[in-house]
Amino acid sequence: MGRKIIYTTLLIVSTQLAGAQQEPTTILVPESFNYKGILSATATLSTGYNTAFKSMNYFLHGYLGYQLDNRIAVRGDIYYFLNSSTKNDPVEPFAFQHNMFTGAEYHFLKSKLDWFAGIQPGLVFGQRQYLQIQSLDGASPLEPPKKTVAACFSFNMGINYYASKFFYLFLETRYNTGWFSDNYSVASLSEVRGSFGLGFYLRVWKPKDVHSIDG
Amino acid sequence: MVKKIALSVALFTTLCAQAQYTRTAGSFELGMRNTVSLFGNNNTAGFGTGGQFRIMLGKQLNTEWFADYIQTDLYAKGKRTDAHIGWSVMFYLLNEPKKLDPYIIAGHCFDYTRVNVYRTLTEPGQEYKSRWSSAAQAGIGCHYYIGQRFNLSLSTQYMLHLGNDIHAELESENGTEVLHVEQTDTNNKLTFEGHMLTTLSLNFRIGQLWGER
Repeated sequence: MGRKIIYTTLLIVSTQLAGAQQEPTTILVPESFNYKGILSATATLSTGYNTAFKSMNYFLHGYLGYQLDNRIAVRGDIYYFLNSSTKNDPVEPFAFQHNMFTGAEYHFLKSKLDWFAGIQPGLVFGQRQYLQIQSLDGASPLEPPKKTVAACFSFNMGINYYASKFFYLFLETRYNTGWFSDNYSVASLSEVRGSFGLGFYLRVWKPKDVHSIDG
Repeated sequence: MVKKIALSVALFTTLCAQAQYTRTAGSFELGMRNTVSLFGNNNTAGFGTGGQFRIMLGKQLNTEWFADYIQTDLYAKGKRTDAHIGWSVMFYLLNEPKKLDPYIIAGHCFDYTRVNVYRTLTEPGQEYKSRWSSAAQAGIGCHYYIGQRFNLSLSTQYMLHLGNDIHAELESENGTEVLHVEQTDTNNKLTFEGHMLTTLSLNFRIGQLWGER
């Protein structure tokens, strides 16, 4: 019974998607809720939980996004590492790990509420911390962990609420994954992050037909 | 039986849906990508990030210019870093784009490879080995169009490198496993080395370099 429902749902969704591509739907909305040409930016604080080290990371999080049409936006994010904390280990796993992501988001337009989900490839620039970096004879300290760049992949989802003409509220979560290898070891970058706060948006390009929302 | 029919119809409907996207010569796209590297010499998976731009030369002919930065863990004893820069030509199988738009892809690439053995916290490790090489790659891929200006692309290519051999091998020494890295040091000992690259990319049509807008 459950499977029948899944198959039927899949069929309906698929057909709807196909139809949507052939005949763009037109919804009448106030001008201010047409997202085409909107540039959005924010700076906020973000917390993350590294699932491998069971450590909490704290970041300054900022992004810049541009709405290509009512569904698709391009967006670049920067996470500036502030600090981290662990309960079990005497030292935190990273001295620092700054992140940069660029990617795309799909927006599910719903009046002032704007649900979105996206995927973003990215890079990590960081440095590990170890409890001991000392030669066996104790005479000469070995070289410190190198500052390293590593690749990562993340997907995010969240909601924006366009509260006024220039400001919006947002709440989002992100899962980031990858491996960080320096000159000593490899470490997992699996981390769940959360951000919320106030954003600023500005229409930098006005579409010809502000009342048309077509896929 | 009903389930199979329902699934087939759903799949068929999706495949046959007309895309809003139109392929035109002169189209310029910019994109980001993640790449997974598999089936290399050490049978370990690598993971990378990169970017690309595409310039369409004809309705069924596109070009992709890419750069990738890939890191591969070697048994938690060392790492291999690959930097790729290259280009590929994409031949579309369908005359008109559907929502799913398959293509054949092939091209060339230049590659910088560096293999490090991890140091221990009490012992200095082995120095790294590096090389430059050139490569040829070929495979298949598919776009998934969302709207007129955006597509997701998934491709799989086999990349064959020609260059000096860098060989990393896990060996047992006094009961502990140690990673050894060796490199042929003469210009005459060029060897082939291959790996499979699976890439997921996001691409935006930025504009039209020439032709109809």
